[in-house]
Amino acid sequence: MSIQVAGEKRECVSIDDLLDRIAVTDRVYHDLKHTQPLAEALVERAMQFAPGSRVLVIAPNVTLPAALLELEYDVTLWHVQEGILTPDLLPLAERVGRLDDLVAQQAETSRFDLIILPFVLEATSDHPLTVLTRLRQWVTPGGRILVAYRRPGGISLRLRGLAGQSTIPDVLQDAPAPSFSWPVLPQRRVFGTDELKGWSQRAGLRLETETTVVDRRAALSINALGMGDWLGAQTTHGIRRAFPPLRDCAIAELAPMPKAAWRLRRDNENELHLDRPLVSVLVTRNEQGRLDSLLERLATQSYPADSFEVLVPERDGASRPVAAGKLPFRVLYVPCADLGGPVAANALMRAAAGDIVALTDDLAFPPRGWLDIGVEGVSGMDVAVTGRLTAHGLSALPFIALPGARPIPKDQDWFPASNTFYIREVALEAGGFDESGCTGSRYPLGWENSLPDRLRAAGYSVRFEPLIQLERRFPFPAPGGRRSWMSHEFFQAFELPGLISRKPRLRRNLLWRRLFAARRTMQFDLLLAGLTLAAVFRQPFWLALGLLWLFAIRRYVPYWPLSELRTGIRNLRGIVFRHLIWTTGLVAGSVWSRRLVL
Amino acid sequence: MKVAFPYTGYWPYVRRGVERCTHDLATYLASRGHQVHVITSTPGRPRVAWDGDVKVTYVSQLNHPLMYRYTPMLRVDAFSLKATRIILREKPDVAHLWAYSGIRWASLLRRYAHFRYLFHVSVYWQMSLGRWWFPELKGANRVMALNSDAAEKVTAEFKVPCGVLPPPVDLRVFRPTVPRDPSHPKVFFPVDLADRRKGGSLLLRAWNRVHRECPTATLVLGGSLGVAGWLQDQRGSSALSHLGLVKDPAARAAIDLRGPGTLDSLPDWYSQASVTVLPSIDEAFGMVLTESLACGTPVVASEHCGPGEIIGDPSIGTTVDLRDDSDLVSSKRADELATAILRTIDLARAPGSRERCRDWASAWSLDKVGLRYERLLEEIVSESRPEPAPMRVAEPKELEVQVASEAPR
Repeated sequence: MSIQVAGEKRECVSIDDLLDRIAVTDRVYHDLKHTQPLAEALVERAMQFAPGSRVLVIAPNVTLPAALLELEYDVTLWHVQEGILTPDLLPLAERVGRLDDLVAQQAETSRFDLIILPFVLEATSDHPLTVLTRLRQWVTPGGRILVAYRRPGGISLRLRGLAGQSTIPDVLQDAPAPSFSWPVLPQRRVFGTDELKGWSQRAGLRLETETTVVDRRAALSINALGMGDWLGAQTTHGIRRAFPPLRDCAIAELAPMPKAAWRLRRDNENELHLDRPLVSVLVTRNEQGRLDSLLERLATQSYPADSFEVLVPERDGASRPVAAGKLPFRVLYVPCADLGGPVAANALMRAAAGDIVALTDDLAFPPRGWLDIGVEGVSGMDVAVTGRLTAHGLSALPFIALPGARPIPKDQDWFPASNTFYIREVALEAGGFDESGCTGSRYPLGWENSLPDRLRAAGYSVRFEPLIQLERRFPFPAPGGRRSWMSHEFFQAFELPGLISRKPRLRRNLLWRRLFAARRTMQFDLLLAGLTLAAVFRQPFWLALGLLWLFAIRRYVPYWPLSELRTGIRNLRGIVFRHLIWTTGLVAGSVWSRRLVL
Repeated sequence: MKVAFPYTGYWPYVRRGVERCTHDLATYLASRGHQVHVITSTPGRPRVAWDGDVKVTYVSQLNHPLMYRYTPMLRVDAFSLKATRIILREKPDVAHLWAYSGIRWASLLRRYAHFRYLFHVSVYWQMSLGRWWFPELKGANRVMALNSDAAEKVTAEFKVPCGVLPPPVDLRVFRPTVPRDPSHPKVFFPVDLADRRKGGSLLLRAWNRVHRECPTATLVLGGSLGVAGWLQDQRGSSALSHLGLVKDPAARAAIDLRGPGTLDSLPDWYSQASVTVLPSIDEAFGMVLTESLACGTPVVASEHCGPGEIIGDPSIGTTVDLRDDSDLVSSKRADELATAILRTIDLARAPGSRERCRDWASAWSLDKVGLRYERLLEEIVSESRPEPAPMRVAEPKELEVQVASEAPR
């Protein structure tokens, strides 16, 4: 078997071949064969690292280190007393003893590119958080920790629960079955993805990926079973193979966070003096933005002015609205080809000096405590936080507005470019914002979400904090004429289904009834449906479907007194026209991306 | 001479007495210029390998949970068919069959395919069931047992003459290799931990007292871990699951579970030990005792069966009255075993103990036993030729005397 690693094909070691060569007794052989699937899965993941990488296996069986040696890794073992190693593997055992003693020792200078923990975290007397915190010190910055653990959602535990048996392990009652493969360690706890993720974050690690795996064969071929038991074992195994969520084992890949991600935490005892990190406020520009107004608001921040700086993109030496010396904080103008969008945001982030970056734009009106609350937000486990976005009184509030152009009153899984805080090092490590798809001054819909999405996928925690509130002026259409806003809105509507397709979580938070771009588009769609059905069936009562929409627009379309009728008709025409542009864009986008949004 | 050793288990998969004896005898014959072929089975893929000059053919093994539940001996029969095919193809001059080699139709092969074989009884069986278990015994060219008691039983049940051929011990491999630390005596249990009859549980019971009276002692469990499918700890009946019998945590901490180790490591383990313990019942011989003695370490074992014949002198070990299953759970016997172990630890400290033990073990040296074995095979081969020589097998009593006279007193 071969697997693709960084575009290169690498031959995987055959555990079957290994088993023919390893000098073990038949009992050991059969146990190793029985647990072969997990060993293969771990080897496959280890192969992401180049030969020669340093690998530490804690509580190993025989096949895993033997396979890693075949692949020319530099293998070190921490061997537990309950385990079995072949004589050729024993010299690799750097530590031998009880599991608790092995993981309790302090870190030395040596570092590992990969640490593998097969069924270890559920067996240690120390809390997994303590163990992971110690192990993090042993991993190189680009390294990984592979944790294989027994899932509470696996079919074995579910069947125990169904049978009325306890699903909480008891080290005295639940003596583990003898095994000559993975060492027989007492299972002290059951945990799932959420717990592991939480422990990892607190330990300065991030849960990058997790996959469920079939960790063993259906039945140990040398253990006598009656027909009923054997059929039961085969059926259960078949279910495990067919339905990944019911598998008993998962392999989680943990990566160390950059130092900044945990250095800033309020519970970091090593950094007690760091109560006021440097913040860089990154200001992206808009055509109708008011930079001077924003800088004036920032000057009133309660956060000490010597602890933050403001970075502004600048093109072709354009005039600077406020003289640098007049502001209590440092303002840095960063030359940039684009004044807004992902290109400017990335350029500013790279030029920033702060541990934390606060992303906003020149249409924002940050309240006095905005930076304080934002800094507090990223002082926990989260590397990115966003908050509420309310409309300033001078905003244009059209009858309908698409995502990205409207206020955010609650968590919608949308991280607006005008009100989000990031830990800079983490954001840069993740690659910053996605710059693809930018054409001229137009940016793809939802570009500001690309970075938080990537961070979340990489195992970091990002969240919505309602206290981080900011007012923003949503401007009227630019004076470029009708065509510019029409094309802008059409393309936004066109891109929305594609965005939902790429990020299904938005469907629940952003869409009305998980299908419509807004409640009003649903009402308009009903009107269109009523008109169509009335025309097809020649039954005017279908027009009643449009009553909802008419009721919704009553404020914008005055019917009385008659002197207002002309204004009402003009408004009605504008609303219908906007709706039609949207509907056309949404339908075209739905067809294009094969995801229905109306 | 082309010699075949068909047997279901062999190294590295099984390393109990029969397999080790096969290895020693096969290696000896190969060193004498004979073509030796061990036909055995593997849980993995079939293959041919070489163990020194000995050719080893591994045929695939039949393993299935249902088979072990309903027809456990099917595995032996399946092996037997494959081994027979190889035997018929290669036509060895003589074959060495052990009690569970499984070639049940060997006597038919002798009659119709000129198959000559020595049958070596390596186990005790329930009297009157022997004919059912070992139908090939009666048709063998020679029948040998590992001790005189078993030989008498064979003669009584099968009405055939049965000689005694004990397993050899290679004195070049098993010799005192490292010094022993008398202040921290090691009690070595080098046999299968999953085999209830080996008395591991009785030893764990005895260990409570041994450790109490000799707190610096360590119990080294260095045996294999059972035989797949047949002798394993599926229902928690072996010593592996009975570590709880050692009640004192300090005594439990003084147990070193090493597993079977390697052949290279065994002489060191024996040499380091102050006493090797084999508190088994129905033991056909007890190779570990002669190996231990060859390494200069005194032994403790049952006074019956094979071990009783080995430990003929109180200056090289101590015996305990262990006869049947009830003795393995008896607290009285556990106490006696503890006394014997403590006595033998003292014995190991006595000057000249090492030399005495090694001298005693020389009675079973590979050079002596191997030569007898080679002659025996040559007799079988020569008597089957057109002018057969009269069969000449030593009677049990005669052989017993022979072995005893070779042992130093």
